[in-house]
Parts: sequence; C-alpha cells; structure tokens
Amino acid sequence: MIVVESLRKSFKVPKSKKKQSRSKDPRNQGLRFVAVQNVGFHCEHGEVLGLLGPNGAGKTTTLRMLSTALQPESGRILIDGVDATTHPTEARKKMGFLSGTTGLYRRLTVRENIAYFARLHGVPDDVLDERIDALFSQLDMHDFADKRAEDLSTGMKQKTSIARAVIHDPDVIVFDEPTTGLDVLAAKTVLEFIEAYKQMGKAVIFSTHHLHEVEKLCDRVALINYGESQFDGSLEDFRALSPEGDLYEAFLSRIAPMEGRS
Amino acid sequence: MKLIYQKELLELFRDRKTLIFTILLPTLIVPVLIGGFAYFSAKMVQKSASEVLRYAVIGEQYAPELVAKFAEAEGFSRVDDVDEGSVEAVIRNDEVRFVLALQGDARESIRKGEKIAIKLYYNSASSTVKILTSRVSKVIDEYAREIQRQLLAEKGLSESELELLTEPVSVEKVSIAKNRERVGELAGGMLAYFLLIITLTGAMYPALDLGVGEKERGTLETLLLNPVPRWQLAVAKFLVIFTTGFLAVFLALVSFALWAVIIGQAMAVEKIQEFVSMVGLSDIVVLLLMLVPTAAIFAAVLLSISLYARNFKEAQNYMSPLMMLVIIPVMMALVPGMKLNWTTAMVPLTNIALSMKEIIKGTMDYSLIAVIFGSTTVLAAGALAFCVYWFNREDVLFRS
Repeated sequence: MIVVESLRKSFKVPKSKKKQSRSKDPRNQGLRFVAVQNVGFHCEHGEVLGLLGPNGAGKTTTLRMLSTALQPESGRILIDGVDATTHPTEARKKMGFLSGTTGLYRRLTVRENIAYFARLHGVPDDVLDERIDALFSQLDMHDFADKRAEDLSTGMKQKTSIARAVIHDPDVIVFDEPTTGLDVLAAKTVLEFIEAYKQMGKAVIFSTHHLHEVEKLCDRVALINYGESQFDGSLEDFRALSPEGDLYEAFLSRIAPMEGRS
Repeated sequence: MKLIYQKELLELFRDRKTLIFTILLPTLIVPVLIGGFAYFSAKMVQKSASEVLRYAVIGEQYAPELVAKFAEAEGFSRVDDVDEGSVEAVIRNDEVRFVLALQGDARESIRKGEKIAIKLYYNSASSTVKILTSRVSKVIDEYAREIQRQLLAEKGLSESELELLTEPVSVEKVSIAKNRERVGELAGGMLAYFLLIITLTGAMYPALDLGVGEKERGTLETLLLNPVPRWQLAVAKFLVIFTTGFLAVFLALVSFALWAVIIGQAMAVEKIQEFVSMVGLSDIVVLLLMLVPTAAIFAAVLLSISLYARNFKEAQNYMSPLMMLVIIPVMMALVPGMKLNWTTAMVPLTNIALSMKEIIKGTMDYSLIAVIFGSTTVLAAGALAFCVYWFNREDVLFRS
C-alpha cells in the first residue's frame, strides 16, 4: 500500500530566473518556489491510482519524492509500511519506478540493461534469466533482446524500461506518463501490462494526461494543481464531479477554480 | 559498487570516443605527434645549417678582403644589384637572407686606429636566425682575426703573444652534471607536462559521460532509484574515471618508452639509446606512483564539475578553464631556477611535475617523495569527499 501525506517541497529560485518568478503563480514565494504543498493520496494493493494534473502542476516533483530521489521538507510517504523519508534504501527495494525518460544505458543491450538493474536490486543470478525470459514473453521483447538500447525504437525502449522497472518483482509500481510518445500498439501493450499487474495484486500509481486511459485502468484518482491536492478519491467520485459523469468536465471543474488564482 | 564499476567501464569501452581519448591518443597519436615534431625540428635545423645563404654586399670597395672571405666560404651565394634603399624589401621577400653594408674604407679606419664599421641587415624574426648569425659571424670573426694578426705582426709580436693578447684568460669548462641530468632537465619537464595533460584528457570524456551525460540521458535518475547508497554510486563513478585517466597515462608512458627504444635501436639514434639505458624500470614505477593521487584528484574534480553542469556544453565550458589551472602549475616547474624543495613539494601539481623532472634526471631526493605523495593523497581524498557530498545534494543532481 502507498500512503502519501501532506508532502511539501520547495526549491531555491536561481538568480537567472528571479525575474520570471515575479509572475502570478502563487507558488512563487520570493527566493523560493514551493513546487508541492499539502499533497496527499493513497493506493491499496490491487488498485491503480491515476495521478492527474496539468503540466507544471507538481506531479513529477511528487513522484520524485515518492521514488526517494528528492527528500520532502515535510510530510510522510509509506511504502508497504516503510517510511520512505527515513528509510529510502528499504523503500526503493519495494518499489518499481518508471520515470518520464526511458533512462536506458544506450551502449548496453536490452538484456544487459535489465540484468544490471536486477543485480542492483539484489535479484539472485539463479532466477535472473528465468525472470528476464518471462518479462520478454509478457512484453513481446524476444526479437530485440540482444540489440543495444541506442538502436531501439521508442516503443521498444519503453517496453525495456518497464521490464527494467519491474524486474525485481516489486509490490508497488509507479509509472510516470508511460504511454507518452508511443504508437497505438505499443501503448496498448503498456496498458495491458499495467492491468496485469493490478490483477496480480500490486499497488500501481499511474501518472498520465490521457483521461481515456484513466477511465479504462484506474480505480482511484488523485489530482494536483499548483502543487496542491485537489482531489483524492475513487474514479466514481471523481466522475461525479461532472453532472454528465464526464472525466474531462470533472478534470476541468477542479482545475478551473485554481486558474483564477493566476 | 563493484557491479556499478564493471558496468560503467564496460559501457565506456564500447564507446569509440573513450577508446580514442584513453587508448589511441596516448599510445599512438601523442607519441607520433611529439616524435614528428622532434623529427621536423631536427630536419629544419639541419636544413638551415646546410642551406646556401644568399646575401648582398653594399660598399664592396671598402673591405675587399672581407668580401673575398665570403666568396671563398662554403654555403654562401652572392646576389648583386642591391642598394641601401632596397635592403629591407629584398630581405623580406626572401631574395637574400642578409646584407652586409660596409660603412667606410677598412684599411683607412685601421690606419686611423678606428674600428671597421659593418652593418649586418637580417630578419631577427626568422625562426632560424641563430643559425644564420652564427654562420655569418664565423666568417666575419675569421676576417677580424686576420686583421688582428697583421696589426700585431706589424708591432713585432709572436703568435703566442698574439694568443695572450686576444685571449688573456683560458677557461676550461668542466660540468659536473652527468649526461642524464642534462637531458633530464629538459626532457623531464616536458614529460611531466605531457603526462599530466594526458591524465586529465583521459579522464575528461568519461567524467562528462558519467556525470552530465547520465543527467541528459535520464539514466542518473533511474540509477538513483535503486537500493544503492548514493556514496557508493559516487565512489564507483569516481573509480571508473580514475581508472581511465590512469590507464591513459600508463599506456602513454609505456608507449613513450617503447617508441624511445624503437627509435633508439631501429634508427640508431645514439642520444636516445643512451637516455633509455639511463632511465630504469624503478624510475618508471615511481613516476606512475606519483600519478596515482594526481589521477584521483582529476577524477574527483572532473566528476564534481560534470555533476554540477546542466548539460554537456556547460560542462565543457567549465572544464576548459580547468585545463589552464592544470597547465599553469605544471609550467611553473619548467621555469628556470624552480627546484624541488620542502616548500615546492607542497604545491599541488607543481610538486608532481618537479618530482618527475628530478626522477628523470636521477637526482630525486627520495625523502621528498613521501611529502609529495602524502600532500597529493590528502588533496585527492578531500576532492573525493567533496565529490561524494556533491552527489548527495539534490540541487546539484536536479539542477535545471
């Protein structure tokens, strides 16, 4: 289970951007930019949580704190009971994370990339080949398993990234915009993969801009705008924000009042 | 950490740029360039020493004996029809290399007890000017000596008295420096310069690739998501950069030694054969030992810069001044009079360059080795500690 409570993160504004920071964004607080404030949500095992928000809302900062790459200034992140802010190494063992970039080593082959990350996670050598083969079958990757990452298409890279993120069989998986830039077939494979992981009882956080994907996959929705939580509840409750039950309308209903602040 | 080190090294050596900067450049390109430079310099000197020097004379009638001397001397060819007004033009156009302008009647001057005035026009900005003036002076000196003899003979002095008058003091120069010291003074300084630059360039590209390169490609963030403490990631990356820097200089040193043996033996260059026989394996080992902490300093500093930079271009901009910061202290060791002592042994990089010079000369004070090695190691440890601290800072890793 993933529990995120009252997260806050601010960044020092670089001198070169101080002029720009005088804009109307309420998160500009003089020398610091409060990227995330009072953000919270939770996701149970066997659930997919859709993390929504416009560009610059604070989704990536939130996910970076969740992944332990960034340390929150306040708040709490629990990954299956492990406090990620105080025990980041332990939390990372329980989590698979697919960042916005594919993040592959271009001069390693697909197999080498995945094996490398598996070993970093302490996957024993005797089960490694078996796990890699299972993932290759699941994601239809056998044809390019021994190609270098620099020679892969965008879809192949994304499949490799997904395999890399889950090779250690984590109970909690975070996908940051996994279908961005993919063609229909590759996106379908990714969405099927997320669905399969849900069925396996994993807790999945799925950041996206595509509301039809949310409709198809998610059980819960968390919406962030201007660095603050605007919604955290079930998909049905989210849909109910719109009189017609339309997700786009629901999304806009939570974004529009905030736009008046800028 | 071992796993990260092995993976980074494997990936680096699959990259053509690493192979060029770490292996090809130090083992082949640099020695060939240096060898080529030395060969062409020697050829140029040889050519200008044997070159037929075209010259012109103005006022021939004032010193026909001198003109005759030049006519008899080997390697000179006279060009006519040059007057005072065209002197500069003919020299600049390379029609002649020098012009002798005789200012007055030589015999008349001697009779009056005055010096014979000669103006020598030449281009002092020419690279071979020393050879030119030396060859011209030789002929003029011979002419002057004949006049001396005539004058002294007129006064009834013998040859030995003449010798005494012209050279009243005889100095026999006895240098206590061994041949190795003489060669080492020049070669040692230059060798230090090349070795330190090779260490830096060998580490530079891998540092760019493992720091800002990973940032740009998004792999750094992915790496941070693994259950490996950040200090281990930093140290593993540092070790890879250190390995490539040290490997580059190790290969360069081996390559220099091999080339020296090949040129010495195959081309029968006596000076090189002699030099190679003087520098022992233990000297090479000490040289390499001195480069260990130096390569560590370069690796830590380069990785810190690379991690701080937002992109590849910014990192390269930061690294260019670093090259100057390395060259200046190394050049200090080439300044005449700069010696290795307890004070200079504490100056980073200058101490390494000076010690290399002393090792090649065979005059190393081995009590200073510990000081140099110790101070450089402390500096390297400090640089590594800073690099690890840097790697733990969010505002460095996610600087945008």
